Formats: sequence, C-alpha cells, structure tokens
Amino acid sequence: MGRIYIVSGFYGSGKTEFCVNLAMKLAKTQGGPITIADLDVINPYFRSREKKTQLAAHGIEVMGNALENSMGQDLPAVSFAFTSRIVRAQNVILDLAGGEAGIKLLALCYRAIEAGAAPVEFLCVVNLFRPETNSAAKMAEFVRKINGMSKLAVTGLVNNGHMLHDTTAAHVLASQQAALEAAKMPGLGAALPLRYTMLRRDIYEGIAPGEIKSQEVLVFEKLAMRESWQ
Amino acid sequence: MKILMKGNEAICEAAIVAGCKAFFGYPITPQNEIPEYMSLNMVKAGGAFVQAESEIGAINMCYGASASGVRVMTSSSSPGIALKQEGMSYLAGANLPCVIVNVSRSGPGLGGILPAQGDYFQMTRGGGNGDYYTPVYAPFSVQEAIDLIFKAFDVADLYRTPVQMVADGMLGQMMEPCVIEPRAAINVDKSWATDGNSGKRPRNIVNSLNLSAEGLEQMNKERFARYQEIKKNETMVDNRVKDGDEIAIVAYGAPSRVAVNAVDELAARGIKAGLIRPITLWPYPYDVFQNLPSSVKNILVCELSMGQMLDDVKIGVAGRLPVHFYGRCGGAIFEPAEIADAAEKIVRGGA
Repeated sequence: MGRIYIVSGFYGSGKTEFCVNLAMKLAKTQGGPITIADLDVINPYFRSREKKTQLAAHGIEVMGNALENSMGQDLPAVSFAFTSRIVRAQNVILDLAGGEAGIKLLALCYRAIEAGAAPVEFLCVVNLFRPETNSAAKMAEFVRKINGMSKLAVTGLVNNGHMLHDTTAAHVLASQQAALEAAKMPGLGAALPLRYTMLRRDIYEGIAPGEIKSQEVLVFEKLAMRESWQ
Repeated sequence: MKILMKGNEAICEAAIVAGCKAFFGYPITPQNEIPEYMSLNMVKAGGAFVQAESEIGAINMCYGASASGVRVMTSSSSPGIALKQEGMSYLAGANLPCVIVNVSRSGPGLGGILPAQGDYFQMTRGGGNGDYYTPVYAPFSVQEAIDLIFKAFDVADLYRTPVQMVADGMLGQMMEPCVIEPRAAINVDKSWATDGNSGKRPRNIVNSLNLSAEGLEQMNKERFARYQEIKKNETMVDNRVKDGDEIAIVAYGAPSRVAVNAVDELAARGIKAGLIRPITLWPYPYDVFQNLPSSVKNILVCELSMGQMLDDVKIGVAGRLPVHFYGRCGGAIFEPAEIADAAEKIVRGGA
C-alpha cells in the first residue's frame, strides 16, 4: 500500500522542491507508480509540472490543473484524475499551493482519501528565513491556521531551513531548532514529529551525525526547480 | 538582517519602508502577490489600500493621492500597464510623482502569463499621448529590485515624474536572500500639493490641461529641462566589458542572468565576452557604447522579445560596430547555451 503525502507551507517555503525530491526518493526506494498532484492553482511559476518530462523518466507522473500540463495555463480548474490514484492507495504527493488558500483544494480530496484508506502524512514545510515563519511561534501559528481550515490536521513538520544558494549548516540547524520548538507548542494536538530535513549534499556532509534530529533526511545534489541562472 | 523574499513581496516591503502611503491595484497574473501583500500590510503601515474597479481606476486614484503629496504606487502586468497609459500621461502632464511596477508577461494583447520583455517600446517612449517620458528601472535580482524601489520613489519626488519599474514575471516570482533597510530620506519640497490650505497660502491646482499654446509649450519645455537633469544624474548601467573582450552581450532584467551564465560558458569555449546590462531603460545608457574597448568587434543584443531595446543599442553604437540580435518571445526563455551559440557563431564568423 502506498501513502498519501499532503504537502503544505507558506509561499516559497520549498513545498514543490520537497515534493519533487520526495517523489525521487520514493521512486528510488519503492518504485512506481508515483503521482505528484500539482494543486498550485494560485501561482503559475515554479510549479512541479515544469519538471514533468524529467520526472516521467523516473516513473513519476505529474498531474495538474492545466491541459497537457501546459505551464502557461492559469485557470483555477483542476482535473481530478489523480483522485483515482488516491482511491487505489498508490503513492500520491499532493503539492498544494502556498499559504492557507492552498488548503482549500484539499477539501475536494477527502472522499478519495477515506475511500482509499491509505495512510496519510500531512506535512508542513517550514523555513526560519521566510519572514512569515521566522520564529517557532509563527511556525506553530501557521500550522494552527492550516489545521483550522482543514478536516485533516498536520501530522509532521519538514525543516527546509535555507537561504537558497547562500545556505550554510548554521541555517539548517537554526531552522531545525525553531521547528522542534514549534512542534511542541500548544494547539497542535499531540507534539508533532520532525519528519524530514531537506538539504543540499555538501551541507549535509558538513553536519556531524546526530545533529539532524528529523526522522528522515532528503538530500539533493542541486535544486530541482531552479535553472543554473536562477 | 538577510531574509528570503519573492521579488513581488520584496518590492512591496521596500515601498512601505520607503514611505509609500497609498497603493491602488487590480489583479492580474503574475503580479498578484503585490496587491495581496499590500492589502495585508499597507494599512498596518498607516497607509491606504484600494482594490480598484480596473487598472484605469487604480492609476487615476494614484493621480489623486499623489496630488495630495503622499508617496503612491500601483502595479500591474503588461496588458494592465497598457490600460494605465492614459493615467500615466496625465500624471506626467500634471508633474506628479508616482511609482508604477510592471511585472511583465508575454504579449501582444492578452498574450500569456510567462515572462517576456515586449513592453520596452511602451515603457521607454512615453506610452501615452503627448510629449513625455518616464524613468524606467529594470532590476535583475530581488536585492536590486529593493534598491531601485527606494531610488524610484526618490527620483519620482525629486523630478516630479511618474517612474516605472519593470520586473518580468520570473523576477517577481523568484525568491532570493535580501536585505530591506530604511535609506536616508531625501528632502523634497511638496508645496505644490493640494493638501488643504486652510486659507494660509494661495490655492494649489494640479492639472495637465492648459489651453494656452504658449503656456503649454512652456510647461513641456520646463519638463524636458528636468528630463535633461534625469539623463545627466540618473542613468544607470552595469558595464562588465573588459579590455580584450571580443563581443559585448547586451541584456536587461532577469534574462540578463542567463547572459551572465552565457559569458561564463563562452569563456569555457575560449571566447572572451562581456556583458552590458542597462539598469535604466530610460534614460538609456547610450554613452557606454561610445567607450567600448577596441577589442570589441561585435555587439549581441539578447531580449525576450522580437527585438525592442535593439533600437536603442543601434542608436548608441551609431553604426560603428555590427549589432546582432538573439531573442525568444511568447514566454519562451533562452538558455545560456543558446546565447553562447549565437555569440560563438558571430565571433567565429558565419553570422
């Protein structure tokens, strides 16, 4: 049985980068079929559908809100073909749009999630260096907002502490500290696990073993969603 | 302190820190984060936010707010900026400061929502009716967009003119580490503002109408005298051409980042290339083309259009060197290798 990964976070938290890397990891460790449902109907740039061809080579299918997954479509209309994959309990990654507004589309998936009965991970990606989540308190407040809008509650955090190309180990660890504190704050149900840390390989190799406190680590070689000149 | 921000958000935050007290906008992709951010934060900053009934409504609200003496901004994307041209002509005619941000997309017409640079003519040649120009800033990074927003508000106030910034959709959506800190305030006399005189001074009138031929001619000449000052003081260019470079690549905005990588790729191919990146599109840095090292034998202009800035480069080069063009449009973006290929073909002959 696969797993349903719901991935949310503030705009620019790194949701899509995480989804693409998670899909690649699942492809490597479990094989296909793997579906990324690109549910970003808000922002027409930096969406997982841009990498459709590269991901297809790894057995990962990207389904989104555009005909032929064209990048230039900004109609707020989603093809729900991916829900059958949820019902069949395959590995499906729901790449939501940023912020609370991104949660709205999730309501359309509840019935498929109930029918499929696959385990659900509802992940919130946080980065201490985005102004909207620049403290443990703000991270926790954001999770509360998401929980308030959704029938499902966040089940774990993803630390994506970074400064893009300027990222150092210190950034990753400072963001981790805030995420760990946020996870224990009141109003989030039980204490949340820090499920993943996502970071570039050279930074990962510079951090002593045991310093990363998340249950799993997603290590990437280069940013999937950025071109060399970005 | 360094924070991570998207271009669109950073432009807003910089505007607020720069003292912008009124924002009027209307939704259009890919600039929606600007009105969204302003709707959340403008009021907190003690300013006013209105989602207007249209782009035309928004620019005319800017006219009113600017006439009252406050710093004001609007934003849109290419087709919406086209709609604002009438209001911008009126702002220029009434000598009113205003900052207009164009997060540009592909055209003409409704076009598409992906990045393009086809608004160059409209932005640099007036755009509306009558004799006027507007300074146009073209940042290539989120940090530069922040720095130039501060600059744009100052230049608008100092020279009493609408000022445009163009950040194509890519820059608007791109996240980068940046610093937004207050700058030294400039001292500007706004005694012309219609801010309520309570009978203490003669009545101020802000207007672009002047039915006297001599009077209107005088107003236009006075404005063009200010344009001369802008040309002298405010022209900006990032000239990276070094002695020994064989070819100069000219590009602006986020696509110039592709050209930066193309220059590196050309170096790996054994070709010395240098980048010229105009930061102001009006006034245009024509002088840079008069002082190129003698090693430069060709110019390659790269734009996400069918070739618009190309005309200004030709004016600057004035026939002294061959000017070539490589562009993509419609939302397609060139890769570093495409620019490098075009440049290599020119340098090695055959183009």
